[in-house]
Amino acid sequence: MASNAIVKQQEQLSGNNLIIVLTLITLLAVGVAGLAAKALIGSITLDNKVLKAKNLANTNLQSDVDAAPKLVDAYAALGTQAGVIADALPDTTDFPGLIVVLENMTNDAGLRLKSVAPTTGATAATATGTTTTASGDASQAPPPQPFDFSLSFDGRYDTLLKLLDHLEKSARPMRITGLQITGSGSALSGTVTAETYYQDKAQLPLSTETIK
Amino acid sequence: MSILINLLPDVRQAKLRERRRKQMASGIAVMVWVICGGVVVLLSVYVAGQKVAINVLSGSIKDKESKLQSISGLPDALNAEEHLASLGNLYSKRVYMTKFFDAYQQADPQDAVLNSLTVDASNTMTVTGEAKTYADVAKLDRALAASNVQVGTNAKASNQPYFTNVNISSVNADSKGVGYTITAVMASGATGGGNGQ
Repeated sequence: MASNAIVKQQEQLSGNNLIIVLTLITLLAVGVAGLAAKALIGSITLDNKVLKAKNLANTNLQSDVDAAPKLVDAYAALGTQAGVIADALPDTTDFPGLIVVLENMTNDAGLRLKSVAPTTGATAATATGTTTTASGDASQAPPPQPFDFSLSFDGRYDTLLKLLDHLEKSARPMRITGLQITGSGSALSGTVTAETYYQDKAQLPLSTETIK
Repeated sequence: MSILINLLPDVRQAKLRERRRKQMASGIAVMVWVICGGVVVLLSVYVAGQKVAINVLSGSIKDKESKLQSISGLPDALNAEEHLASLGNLYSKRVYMTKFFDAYQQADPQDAVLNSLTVDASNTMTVTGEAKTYADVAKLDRALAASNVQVGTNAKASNQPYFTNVNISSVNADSKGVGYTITAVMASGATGGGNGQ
């Protein structure tokens, strides 16, 4: 009887040891698997975002690749008119081009152009423009930047009106911001302050984006 | 009298019970391991699939980038397209000072001399000058307020005035006559936004 009880107890102890060992190994396995799964799920989440962004970029690029030849053809079809666009909104402040335009306008209006000068606001605008471009996204067009200038003239009241009309109808957009006049209708002197614009050269929409 | 009891079946039964217990424990443990391993393997396969898809897309993107860069004349065409797209908005920023002078003409310019005109970013125009009398300043103020409605070519009561919120901000007698400052907001008809041309 006693030996049978001892055998039973030994069997039970051996069984309990096995279960304890199995439980410990299982807990370890679950822990390791949990950690691995957490890391993998994190990777999946990030890669999903990357995949979405890459898919979008790929789709956009495909539409760009499809549209590019048409754009080039349309641009080529403009011929000499393409120059008008470049003159209307140059890549730089193009001050030399501006003074030629203003000279032509004042000559046509019958005014004597005394001086043309960039005003202090232009420096600030240029600096801002540089900053904007440096931090800009290549997939978005750089915004137009203002370039302030002033022109002084001598003339008459009617010639001043002609000059204003020319400035208002200029292919290169000009926003008159001020006008100072001295003298009388037949002998006017004055200064027009205005702003015109330029826009940095376009970049192909190729840039990288960090996905977090 | 003696009783014989056969204890072997009892020990055997205990062993069998113990074996079943061990088998069940082992089975459950193995099942949990398999589930854990399976989940990890499945997730790993999914991750590997994603990496492959990302690589394929990256290759496709590089290929398209090369294609775009190889199209001759594209940078110039793109530049023209972007600049053309900006021009409309820039033209709409223009202000038509000639509209002011149309109204000014109606107010007898001999008696209200202009010194300066400024327009701020919100199209508020400030006019300063010298007039002979206070009445001349008032005449200019009224002419501006009535511009395109009663004053100017093609003026009609149904038109939108070129200038709104016309106010005489200051008027004071000085050695030359009456100094004045008039402010007004250039409405859409007097700016590029309203195609005032």
